[in-house]
Order: sequence, then C-alpha cells, then structure tokens
Amino acid sequence: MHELSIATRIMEIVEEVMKEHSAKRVGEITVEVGSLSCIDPSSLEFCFEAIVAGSPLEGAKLRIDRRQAMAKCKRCGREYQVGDIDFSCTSCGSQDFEITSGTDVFIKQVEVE
Amino acid sequence: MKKVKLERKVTTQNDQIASTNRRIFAKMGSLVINLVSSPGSGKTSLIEQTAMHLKDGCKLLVITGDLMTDNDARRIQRHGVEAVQITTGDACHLDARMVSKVIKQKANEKYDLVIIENVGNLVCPASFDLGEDLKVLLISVTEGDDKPSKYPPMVSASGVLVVSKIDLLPYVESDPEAIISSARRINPDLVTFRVSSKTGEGIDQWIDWLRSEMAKRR
Repeated sequence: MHELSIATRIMEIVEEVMKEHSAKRVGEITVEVGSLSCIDPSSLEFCFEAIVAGSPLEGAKLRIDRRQAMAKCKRCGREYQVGDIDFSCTSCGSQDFEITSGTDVFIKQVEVE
Repeated sequence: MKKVKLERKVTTQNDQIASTNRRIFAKMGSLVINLVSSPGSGKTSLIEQTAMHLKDGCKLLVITGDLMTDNDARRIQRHGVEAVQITTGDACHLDARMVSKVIKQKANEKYDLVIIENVGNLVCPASFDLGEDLKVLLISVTEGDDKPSKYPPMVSASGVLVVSKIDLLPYVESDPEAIISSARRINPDLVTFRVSSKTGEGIDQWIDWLRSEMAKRR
C-alpha cells in the first residue's frame, strides 16, 4: 500500500548515489523486497516508472527480487525460509522461532555512469 | 556502467514520523496499542468494555479511524473517555502523520493507555507503524478459522490476538483454538485472549493483561 512512498525514497537514495559518483545516468537498480513487507512488486514498479519520468533517473530500470522471509529456530538453531502460511521450523517442526528477515525493502545495487 | 553495491534499508517518511510519535508516547508514559481487524470484528465494542473497566483510576485516550463519520468516537465518549476521531476520507488505514497531528496537541499530558483504533482492514495497517508499542489483532468467530493463514503479514506484525464474539460460538461453526493455532504457526509469541464484549466473558483476563503492561511503563 505504501509503494509510492517506497518508490520515492528509492529515487532519493539513488539521486544521492548519483551525486557521490558524479553520474549522469542510471541503469539497473536492484531492490530486494521481503515477503512480509506488504510491498507488491508490480505496484512498486508502476509507481517507480511514474515518478522517474522527466527526472535524472529517467530510463533507469528497477529490478525487484522478492525474498521469502527467513526465521531462526530457537530449538535447533537452524535458519530457514518460512512457508507461506506456516512459519514453523522446516527442520525440526518447532513453533518456537523468530523472524530474522523479510519485513523490509533494501536497495542492493545501483548501476551508474 | 559502474555497479555500486549498497545494503541500504528503504525507510519511509512514515517510519520517521512514527519514531517521533514513539518519543511523544514515551514522554506521556503511555502504553499504546494499535487495534487492527477486519471491519466489524468488534474493535469499538472491545474499547467500550475496556473504557468501562479502566476509566476509574486510569487516564485513557482513544484515537479512532474511519473513512467517514464520528460514530465510533461518540460511542466511546459516552463512557466518559476522551476520544478523538480521525476521518481518513478515502484512505484505508491510519498513517503516522494522522496520529502525529492528534498527539502533538497532547504532548504535555499524561495517559496510562492510548488505544488507536485503526480502519478495519487486515492488509495495509500491517505496514504502517504509528509509533505504537504493539498491534492487537482482533479476529471474530464469524470470520472463518483460517483467517490468520489468509493474512500472514498482519499476524506476524501483531503482538496480541484477541478472538472476539465468543458468545456466538453456539451458532457458528468455529473453533477459537483453530484460529489461535493457525496464528501461532505464523507468530509463536502472540499473547492470546478469547472474549465476548457482549457478555463480558474473558474481558477480565484482557483487562488484567493491560494493567500489567501499563504498570511496566510507570
């Protein structure tokens, strides 16, 4: 639901990167979206395309990798990818775990020149 | 093209305002809960029950969100509790800025408990931090026992699950234990309650828990 504000922040961060590297153009921007972030990749792409039109980022391509959330089992210690509706440990079945990633959006890489 | 590696978390303006709200709430000395559910699960009724039990001896503030009308605020004010209505217009959730506008005017006051009643919606409120201590998720027994499996992000983001309307159990096919166990497969740390705001069943446990959480903040 807040894809537009995420897209706006991505644009601001990429503009900072452009400044740091005195870049004129941006190629691919790799973004990792956690499965528990409530961010819909296609809406994010749509919002991003709409806001970069006419900006220094025009022509940049957003590559969105959706990452399934990870959890750490408190019984066997294993770190694992959670299921869609059952986050229990995939090794020992324990329901004592904590979510370690998947709730956020990260910018992983920006191509500039 | 040069590839610049980053590991940069994208936080939004909402996250920043929510942190400011959290500081204001801490100064108020309040336990702050963000009540979330589908429309019609009994959020306002639970707040009314809570108000009746806690208004003597505790200072309460209720911030309630709906697209239209101030019906909910008026229902709560009838119990002698301060309630502020936020009408969101078309927005399907409360955001940190809306809450900020309300609490900035009250920053110098003390409240034991602030209840934020979100707009009925199990999707968007999961990703909008308002500065609360925790989200309290209500699921009524009329909604289908697999509700938690249908909305994992909200279950994962919540700290408490209240199964509501248990007075209707003789008339509906529902097993509160099934609702709770499907929620625990997503979030094992959930504190759970089974309540009826109509008959008062289970309300004492809910109130006891609120009192113990409020005591931690004094």
